[in-house]
Amino acid sequence: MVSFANVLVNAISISSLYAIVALGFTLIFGVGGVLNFSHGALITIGAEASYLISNQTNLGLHPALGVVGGMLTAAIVAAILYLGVVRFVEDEPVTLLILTFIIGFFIQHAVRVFSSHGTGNFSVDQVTPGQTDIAGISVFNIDITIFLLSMILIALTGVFVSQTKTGKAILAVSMSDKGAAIVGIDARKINLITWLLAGAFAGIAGVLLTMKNTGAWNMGTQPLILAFSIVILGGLGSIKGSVVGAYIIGFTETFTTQYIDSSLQGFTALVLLIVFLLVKPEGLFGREAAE
Amino acid sequence: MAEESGDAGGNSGRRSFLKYAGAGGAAALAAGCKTRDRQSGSGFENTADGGNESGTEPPQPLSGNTIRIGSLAPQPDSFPIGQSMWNSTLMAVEEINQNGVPGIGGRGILGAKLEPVSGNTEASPGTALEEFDRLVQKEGCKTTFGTFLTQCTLQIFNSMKATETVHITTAAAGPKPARIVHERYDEFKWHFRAGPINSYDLARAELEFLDIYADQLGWDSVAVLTENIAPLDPFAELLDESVRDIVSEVPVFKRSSSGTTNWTPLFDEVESSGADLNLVAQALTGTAAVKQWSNQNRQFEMGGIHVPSQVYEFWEEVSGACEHIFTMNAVTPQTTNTPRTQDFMKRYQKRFDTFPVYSGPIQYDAVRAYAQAMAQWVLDNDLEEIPSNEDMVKALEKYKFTEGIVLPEVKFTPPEADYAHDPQWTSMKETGVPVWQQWQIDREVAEDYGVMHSFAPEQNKTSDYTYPDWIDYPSDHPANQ
Repeated sequence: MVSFANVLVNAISISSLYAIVALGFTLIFGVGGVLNFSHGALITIGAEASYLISNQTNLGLHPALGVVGGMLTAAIVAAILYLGVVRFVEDEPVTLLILTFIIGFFIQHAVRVFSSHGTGNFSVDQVTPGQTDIAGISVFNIDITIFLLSMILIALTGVFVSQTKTGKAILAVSMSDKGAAIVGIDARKINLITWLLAGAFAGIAGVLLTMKNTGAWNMGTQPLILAFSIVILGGLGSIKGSVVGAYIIGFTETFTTQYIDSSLQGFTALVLLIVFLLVKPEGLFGREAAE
Repeated sequence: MAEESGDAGGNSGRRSFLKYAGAGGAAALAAGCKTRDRQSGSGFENTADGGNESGTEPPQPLSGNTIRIGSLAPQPDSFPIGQSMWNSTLMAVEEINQNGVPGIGGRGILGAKLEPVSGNTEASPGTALEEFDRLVQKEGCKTTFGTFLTQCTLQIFNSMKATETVHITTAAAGPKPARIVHERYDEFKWHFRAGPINSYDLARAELEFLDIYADQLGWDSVAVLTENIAPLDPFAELLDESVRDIVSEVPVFKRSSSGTTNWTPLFDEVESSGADLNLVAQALTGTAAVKQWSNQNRQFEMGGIHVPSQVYEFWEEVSGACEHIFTMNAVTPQTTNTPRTQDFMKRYQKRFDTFPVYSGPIQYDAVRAYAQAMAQWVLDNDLEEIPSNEDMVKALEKYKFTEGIVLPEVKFTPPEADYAHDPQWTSMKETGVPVWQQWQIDREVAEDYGVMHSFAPEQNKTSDYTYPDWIDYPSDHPANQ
């Protein structure tokens, strides 16, 4: 029988990873009102970049550089996406939704076609390999890294939004872009910053996911669905709700796969998504999905 | 060379060949003229190896003909299983065109030139059917070889029947095609499988392997995780019936989801059960499992049927994390299944700068066995034309092929067998197949790359089994002996 402590550690690790994914997804929705379905592809981009930087068959650099490279590459691709596509159709939500959906698939398939691993999986070395004993429980160092990094990113995002001038501008645009414009805030610039941040979060999540499990050209699809479930559950556009939602989904998934059936991986999130959409469409802390 | 499986036919085979050989002198002048004509138009290259073992110039009754054969492989330009199939087809065809069929010699199949045509199934049943129809109806292929995934094989069954075209499967192990041949022989006798042995036999081989080696290697407690996909059903069924009779304890017996990406919960369960070995059957999820097993330094060994590990590039893909992982395989770059295996592996590696997956050697054997059966049928029946497909079914049923590189002897099971037109297989111990391959580091073979050694069965053993150095074994464990 697997010890409860082990299951708890697994749940915290996976929830932390989900929180990073959901944070970027909810930022873009909260500020720009865009359901960014290319968010999963940005996860793949981050992972692929780290593979090119730190896998021994490519540049073979230190895995930490892979984390930074993955984060920056995904952020740059997200910015290009905003500047090259999104800003032209910002006022057409249906077109925007379809476009991000198609671009997401396009990017993932481009990785499949042009990368050296093709349809196969790929891997990178862990930035913190090995295990550490904490209170008699053996914990993988990569899980500790994921948890700490997730906490740092959540805290920094909170501080950034509430304490800095740009962060407050982001809040203002998320409330009303017209109102923000009246007080001299350039909504386009704020949207660009938001896309950059969201891309960076997706990139980091992609790298960590590859280090924890492995990567593949379509690895972003499942986290995208999870992110969608998480922000519906937590409340669309709510950072706090996304973090709480990530932990609810992560814990539910880990406990059901561990104690009921391992084939339920990825299934429970969808069940929760349906239940919340029917029973509490505004989520725990946010606006109603139907708004 | 091809031999008849029954005694009655053996003499007639020899008689007809001797007749041609004896007639060689009388026909020499005319043959000389014809040979010049043929060579200018056939595309055959002159080599010194065209004669047969007795040094007699073999007969060329099919000269002037071209026989097109199709290869149905998934992504033959990029996917290792498909690449191996197509590359091996090219090698087999070139060798036959230059040196004739094994044991008979000459050029091509008794003078007929082989021409390979590539079809890409994309590992999709629908595409496999389209490509089969294209190869047969538009490209004029007389027969086809290949198909990876049993669903692809089954999808082309009706077209095989409609066009009366022989198809020889080389990369799908599902038992259903052979069962259909048995049950509806007149309609579907066109299907043969040169390998791999069908999945029920593979499952039996796995039990045989455990029976012989579990105790020797220190596997008292074995956890079984079988990926939940249809081709692995026979393994799950047979293991569920019998594995508990072989090892002392089976604390975990589960079908793992084919969508599993995070193996930590399952590995926690296996590790906490105290299992010595995690016996897996994995096709789609194998890479993630290996990487996590190695990264997490799990306290159990792992192996079984691990499809990704059968690919030479896997070592690179997982940065060596597959060291100590073992898998069933048909052949490895190191093994000597037959006296011809290593020669083939070396030539393949020299030409393509990699080693083939199991599908390549099997397809190579299939093409050569087909060519030899045709040649033998022509000689035995004094033909001067290419045999019909109906006759080729009889020929493939009749002869056995003893020039292979995977199995020492390829003989198809008869129509009355439960699984008809499958490769005959008795046991791992008797045939030496399947081999049990383990990724190891061996500096004598490769300085900076893993080696696909085989530790079982005895006749194909190239190295001892190795144990992960991060596992704490008791002093009396075989790892410390």
